[in-house]
Amino acid sequence: MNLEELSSHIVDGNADAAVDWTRRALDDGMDPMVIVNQGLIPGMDIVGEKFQNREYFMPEMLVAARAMKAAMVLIKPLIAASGDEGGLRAVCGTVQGDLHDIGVNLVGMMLEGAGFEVIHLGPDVTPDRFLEVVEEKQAQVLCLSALLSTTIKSMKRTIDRAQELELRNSVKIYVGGAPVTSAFASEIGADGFAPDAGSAVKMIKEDLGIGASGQKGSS
Amino acid sequence: MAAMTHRERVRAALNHEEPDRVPIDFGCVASTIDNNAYKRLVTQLGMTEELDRPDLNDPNEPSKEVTPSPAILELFGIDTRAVHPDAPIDSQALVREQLDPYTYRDDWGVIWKRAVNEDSPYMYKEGPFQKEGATVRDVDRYPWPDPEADHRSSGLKERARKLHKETDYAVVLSVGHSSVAPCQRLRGFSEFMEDLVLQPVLAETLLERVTDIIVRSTITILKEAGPYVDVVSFSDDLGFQDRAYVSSAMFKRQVKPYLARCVEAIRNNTDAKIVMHSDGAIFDLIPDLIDIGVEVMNPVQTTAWKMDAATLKSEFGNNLAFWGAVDTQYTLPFGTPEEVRDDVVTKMKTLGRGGGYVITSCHTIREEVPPENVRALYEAALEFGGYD
Repeated sequence: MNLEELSSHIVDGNADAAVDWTRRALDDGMDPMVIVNQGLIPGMDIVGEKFQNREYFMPEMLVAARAMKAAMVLIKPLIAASGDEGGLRAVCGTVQGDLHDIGVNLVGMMLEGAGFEVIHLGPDVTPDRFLEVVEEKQAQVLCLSALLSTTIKSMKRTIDRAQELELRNSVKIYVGGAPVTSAFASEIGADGFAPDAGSAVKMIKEDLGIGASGQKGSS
Repeated sequence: MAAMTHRERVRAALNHEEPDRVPIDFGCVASTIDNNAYKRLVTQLGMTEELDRPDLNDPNEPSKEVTPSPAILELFGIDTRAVHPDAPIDSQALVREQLDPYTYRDDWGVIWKRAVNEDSPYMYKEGPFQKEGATVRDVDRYPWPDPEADHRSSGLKERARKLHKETDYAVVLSVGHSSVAPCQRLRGFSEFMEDLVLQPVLAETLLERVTDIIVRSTITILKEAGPYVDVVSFSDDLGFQDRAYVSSAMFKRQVKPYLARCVEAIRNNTDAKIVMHSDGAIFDLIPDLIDIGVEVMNPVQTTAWKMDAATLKSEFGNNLAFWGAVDTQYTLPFGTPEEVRDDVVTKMKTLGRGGGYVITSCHTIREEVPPENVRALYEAALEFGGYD
């Protein structure tokens, strides 16, 4: 079966076709990790690029992510059973005092599309809550979001708190949201900033040395 | 040029003529101020009698947008005055059912929450159709608010007429939202976006119902106040920082017809200039907004993608006036008073050429904005706004 076909179902946001293709591939005995790494993830990579180029807008991206998730429903139990999880974990949420979470949800979705296990903490998350989950899940990545000029200060508080708890070196911290700039990101000691979900995931993958196949250090 | 009245100044600018100076708004079109920032402003100005205003000290709303008092508006030479309908059928309607100290439900059935962890304003939380498997039937059977019945006519007409007859300010009335923001709140932001692709009939049904109510509400409000107002504003949200929510093609096909009905309801019931508020990077949608009858764009978020003032003025300045534009993402909260002054002067020079500009903050002045910067904005607007 042609894995590019699966990728194009993801790009088109065709959940039914993606599920159907995945079911048939699994019935044929295809390795679930091959389906993920050579079908789903490359599909989401294209979605990310199209979003970055403004060929895709929010509806197209959401629908693509929905198709990928629908296919993952079939695959997840098989990966869990084989113990062959990628081991990449990201914690995502909106900082204390801010209830806007659309942007960070997009980033989380794209990270899932890149093979991460994503823990979505939602809006109004305190620094301690973020770091408690980072520690518990041994997450490699923490994504902080804020929409308001009032609440971006909570980003710095979260990063400072990571320093105090001696977690700063074990987790990469990324910041994003309307008022955030890359100057602000470096000023508060974040590891990176990106202007949209597509480029955010690209940057995170590069920083962690993850190749196009979704495998850490395989390239 | 002889000094103009406030109303003449605003009208001239919105008719693309150069008035004596750039007109100034504070408090009318997405230019209110956070109660805590306002308290610091009046304290610095020595107007401490203002601090007792009940709306500045509501324990249920430790952070909220408020309108400056007449004394402040007078002090800064503000050309506009707002007249508010008592019960706009709006997603942030005045009708609230408080569910707990952090949560209320509005009269559309939408839930609003404020953060538990910090004193921040209420923000949209969830809507009645925000569930997997929502259907057209759910939308059809929903107990929709009734704009005529729910409108408590408590003297809107009188208030508007009084401002029109007894003052020379430009009278500004907001009729609430157009169709997109209410649909996103009722159905969920992401859900509504997905519906536009996956369930276009559901999206269309929701847009249709919501637009019907907005049109009736607009007519109800303008039947009273329409003859007495100079500017009518409505708001929606169509953009992120880096792009519009939807492509220009999708906007034209699936959204524009409903916004056109909202604007038509305004146009048919008043001669006032029509201002649309939408945040974000909406450059690609502006030609369509002009096409449906939008005459003035607010808040002019020049920090968003492709929204810089010079480009907007050169691309659309002949057909569109601008209202807002003083940066609230960086300069007002984090800049110095000198930087605010520079921004004000630059915006007036760029957007004000040949008229077509009313200056104010690009959105509500938020809690962290220092009083020095609020003063710098309004003092510079008055000092450097002349056309000579």
